[in-house]
This record gives sequence, C-alpha cells and structure tokens, in this order.
Amino acid sequence: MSARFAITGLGIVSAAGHGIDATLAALRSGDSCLGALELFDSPRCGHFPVGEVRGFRPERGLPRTVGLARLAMREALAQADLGVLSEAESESVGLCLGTCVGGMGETEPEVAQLLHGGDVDDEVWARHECGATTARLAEEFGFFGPSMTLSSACSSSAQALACGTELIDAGEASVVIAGGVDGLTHLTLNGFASLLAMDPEGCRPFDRERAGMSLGEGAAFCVLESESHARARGVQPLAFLAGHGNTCDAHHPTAPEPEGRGAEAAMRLALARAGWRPSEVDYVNAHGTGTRDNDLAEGRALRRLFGEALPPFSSLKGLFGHTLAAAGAIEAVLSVLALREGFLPGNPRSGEIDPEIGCAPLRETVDASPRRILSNSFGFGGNNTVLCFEHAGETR
Amino acid sequence: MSSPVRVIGAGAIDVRGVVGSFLEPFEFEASGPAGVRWKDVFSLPNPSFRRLDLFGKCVCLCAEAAGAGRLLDEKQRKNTALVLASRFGCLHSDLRFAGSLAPGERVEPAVFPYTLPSTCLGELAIRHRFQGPLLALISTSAGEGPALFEAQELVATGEAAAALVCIGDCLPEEEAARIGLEPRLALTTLLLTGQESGSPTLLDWTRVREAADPLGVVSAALWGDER
Repeated sequence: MSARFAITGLGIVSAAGHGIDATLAALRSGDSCLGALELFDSPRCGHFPVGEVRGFRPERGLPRTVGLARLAMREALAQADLGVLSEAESESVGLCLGTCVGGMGETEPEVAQLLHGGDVDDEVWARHECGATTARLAEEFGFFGPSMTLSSACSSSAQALACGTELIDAGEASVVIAGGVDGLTHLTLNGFASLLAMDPEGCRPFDRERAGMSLGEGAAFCVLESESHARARGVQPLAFLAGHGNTCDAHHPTAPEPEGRGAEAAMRLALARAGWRPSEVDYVNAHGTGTRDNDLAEGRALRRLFGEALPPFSSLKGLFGHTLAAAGAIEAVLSVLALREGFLPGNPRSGEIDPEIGCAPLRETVDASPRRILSNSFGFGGNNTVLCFEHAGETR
Repeated sequence: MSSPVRVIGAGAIDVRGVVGSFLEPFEFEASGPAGVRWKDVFSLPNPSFRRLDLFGKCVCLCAEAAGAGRLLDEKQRKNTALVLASRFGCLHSDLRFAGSLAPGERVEPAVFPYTLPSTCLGELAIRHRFQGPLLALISTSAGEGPALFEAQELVATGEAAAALVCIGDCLPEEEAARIGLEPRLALTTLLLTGQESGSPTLLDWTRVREAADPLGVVSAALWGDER
C-alpha cells in the first residue's frame, strides 16, 4: 500500500458553469450541458454539440486556457486556505498542469496567417506552447516550487494529480496544485471529426447507439498535500487520493486494446497501491467517451475486474463533454464531490444497454454514501491512468 | 549513498546524425532526419516507421540507438515506463494538420493523432511491447528536470522496472525558418533501470543529474566530443 494524500481544495469551471455549486446542481439534475458551438465559426464542425463554457470571455490578450484555469485555481486555493502565500510557502508549492492545447485557441488565426506567408507577432510561439500556460499560472499565483506540464492526451490531468503526489512523497514540494485545462479549438474539433469520432447527436456513453464523443472545455484543480501537513495547517481533508495506476496498452496509436487489458491492469495497479479489494469500490467514474471502441474495451475491463460484483459506474462526458487534458481533473473533482455530498452521478444520455458491453451504467444520479471511488482516464498513445479517491472519514 | 537508478543505454540525435550506445554514429544527409529510412540506420525493416511524423521518427531512432530493443527482457518490457519531454515536439504535425484545415484544402485525418505527443510514445510502446507508465511532458520552463525526476522516481519507487526517457526537440531548419523559430534538432534518450538489473552501467546517473547540462553530458559521451 502506498501513502495517501489529502485533497484540501477543489476548483472547477466547465460547461455546467463556474464553481462547485453550479457543478453540483448540474450533477444532481442530470441535464446535459452540451449545446451549439458559439465560441467560433466552424464550417465543417459547427453542427456537433459541444460542452462550451458560456458567458466567459477572458480579458484581452489572455489565453482562454489561462483564464479558465485561473478561475478554477482561485476557487481551489480559497477552499484550501492558501489565498496568500508567504515567500517560504511559495517555494514549497508546486504546480502540475495537464493541457494539450495550451494557448492554441488564441494563436490559431495567427498560425493560419503564418502558413499562408503572412507576418505575425514574434511572440506567437511563446503564447502557443502548452508550457507557457503553466509558467504563467505559476508566476501569477506565486508557486515557486517544482512545476510540470503533462501533455499525455486525455490522461494528462489525471497524471498531473499522480505526479503531484510523487513530488510530495519525494519531499520536492509540501503542497501541489494539480489539475488541468483545455479550451475548444479548431484543431481539436476538426481533428476528432476527421477521425469520425464525434457524435452529431451528442455523446451517449455506453449506449447501444453511441456514435462518438462530444468535445468540451474547462478546468479543474485539486490542492494536494500530505495528511500531516494539512492537519498542521489546521485544514481538514476533503478526501484522499489513495493510489494511482498508469499503464500503456502497447496495441495501437489511437484505438484501445479491444479487451481493455491495459485499462484493467491500470485499475488493478491503482487498487493495489490504495490497498483496496475490488469489492470495496463503491463507484467507478468511467472514461466513457461514447466512442464504440473505448466504451466496449472499458466495459470489458470492468466486467473482468469486478465480475458479478460490478459496482455502479457512469461516464460524465454526456454532461460536460470530453474536456481532453482537463477531463481527469474535472472527474477527480466530481468524484470528491460524490464522496462528500453523498451521491452517485448518473450517466445522462444513456438509453439502451449495449449487449456487446454486457453491463449498464447508472442512468440517474442517486443518493448514496460512497467511501471509495475509482476514476479512469485513457488517452491516445494507449495510456491508461486510474486514480483512487477515498472518503475523508476513512482511517488507515 | 548510491543512486537508486543506473543508466544502461543512451542515444542522441543532432544535426550531425544519430548515435547511441548501440549504434555507431550514423550521419544524416542534407535532408536531415526527414530523409532517413529505418533500414539505412539499423539494417532491418520497420514497416511502421514510415507512418510516423518527423518527431516520432526521431524519438524512435534515438530510443533504438539507446538499446531499447536489446537491453530489456520480456518481463522488464511489460513494466517499462516511457517519459518524453519536449518543447515543440508536435509542432511539425500541428502545422501540417492546421494547414489542411484551410479552405479548399483536404483535411488529413492521419496527421491529427500525431499532434499529441503521447502518440509517438504509443508507437514506441507498440514496437517494443512497453506496457508501463507513459508520460508526455512539456519542457518549456523547467528544462529537463521534471522528466529526469519522473523517470528516476518511477524506477526508484518500483512503479516501473525500467524507464526510457527522451528529451528534446526536432524542428528542422527549413520548417523553423518558415515559422520564425530557431531550428532545434537535439534529442537525447536514456534507458534507466534499478540497481538490481543485470545490465552493465553505461553512465553514472548522479553525474548526469547533477550536471549543469545533463543532456550535454550524455551527448558528449556518445559523440566523443571534447568538453
């Protein structure tokens, strides 16, 4: 069993709105937040429903990802009582950020201009790259401890949380702000559409008629620290990150291994590190993108791991869309909320059971008292990252 | 105190060519890495090499030169971690895909997956059946430090039996000039295992990690440069 880490602050912004309260309301209602794309014109992909953050316009010159991350980060820091850091504290606070688009949302028009022989601002690449988002946030919030930018596709921010625990465990940081952010862009929207991976009706994870994913955007952060550090600061843990597992399918650059063996291995690793038996898991937050391949492979992995005792599971991507690099962190926040508020979130937009998958997700949000939750994140390259979240009342 | 990990293989690419602990220097022609065929370097076919983007090709060449396919047994491969750190890793594919979205152009679906840096790691994993953790980092502000830290931690804590860490960029002169960036062609790969591994030590890990320019130390050792 590995050490567990206290989560002392949460922040989130998504298509459901800004903040924990708006997110909880969306989770409880189960109404999908997918809608028409308004952020930019997209002649080829404008008809796909998306999970867009409405009513948010970052200040001029600020990348949308930085703006979204800033909102979520402020909320997490306030809850963790880390609003104002002393110089000494700043140097021991690290930042682990998962992002795949970085500043691309703002630089896309300039890049297009450049590709057609036009002149652009010399600083375009400094704003474009993913690492610039991390650097800007670290500087603005005064996190002068170690920083990392993870860009491992849709597992990025789940990996950011896992890396955050490693930094704490190795004594490199006493507190780590870990999470992720991604915004909607032409490149990602057209990219997934070109792979025929988008559902024109909006994603329906695990549904028999599912036809692909829906893109979303957002940001989420967790404040991580050791249990003893949190208690010494007089801060109560909201929940614990009890373990993680990380594997690679080594099967296909983009498609999951059809039997879900890599996903199963990651779940088993995470359980072993957390010291949990499969029968102790109360709920699984599935990756559940709504693509035929992902949901089938993940369903098979869940069935093999849990057998007849498969706990309730659902995917929240029908609610928020697939927020790519931010998804793992958004779903981490949702998992902690489920533990704290006592419910299991339903899988909106799921109708008929797919007999090939052979198991059905929880359709509607229900009151419950979960103590242990697994959260899955899988990505291009065949990587599988699984996080284990434990109720704050659990003792070791 | 002894280091928790050992370097058992290394590879490097720069404008001169590719070199490694399992590869005598192979010099690039004028077209640089873009014109290289796998068979030219390693005298064996590799059918999947052609589908890779330029960055992925460089990562795979550099990993092979480090002994990725020779130094680890099957059990180790099942738990070998891949850690990549790059600043502009996928820019080549980003630009190509973005260009294909222009009005009148034909969208290139095959290029899109390579706009994500984890995809080329996935290709490497497929080739060698590496099934351990896979992490792609961006190295802008913190240099190579986080990637070296992660690779070390994964092995030292037993989360992985070995780690292949690949750091650098592959932005050829012509493309860099087109978009107003300095050309960068420098990629370094290290293959790490724990102390108990049977393979001989190639480089002292502590010396690499504590060097002011860790990647320079590795590259110089491989190329035999005077430093």
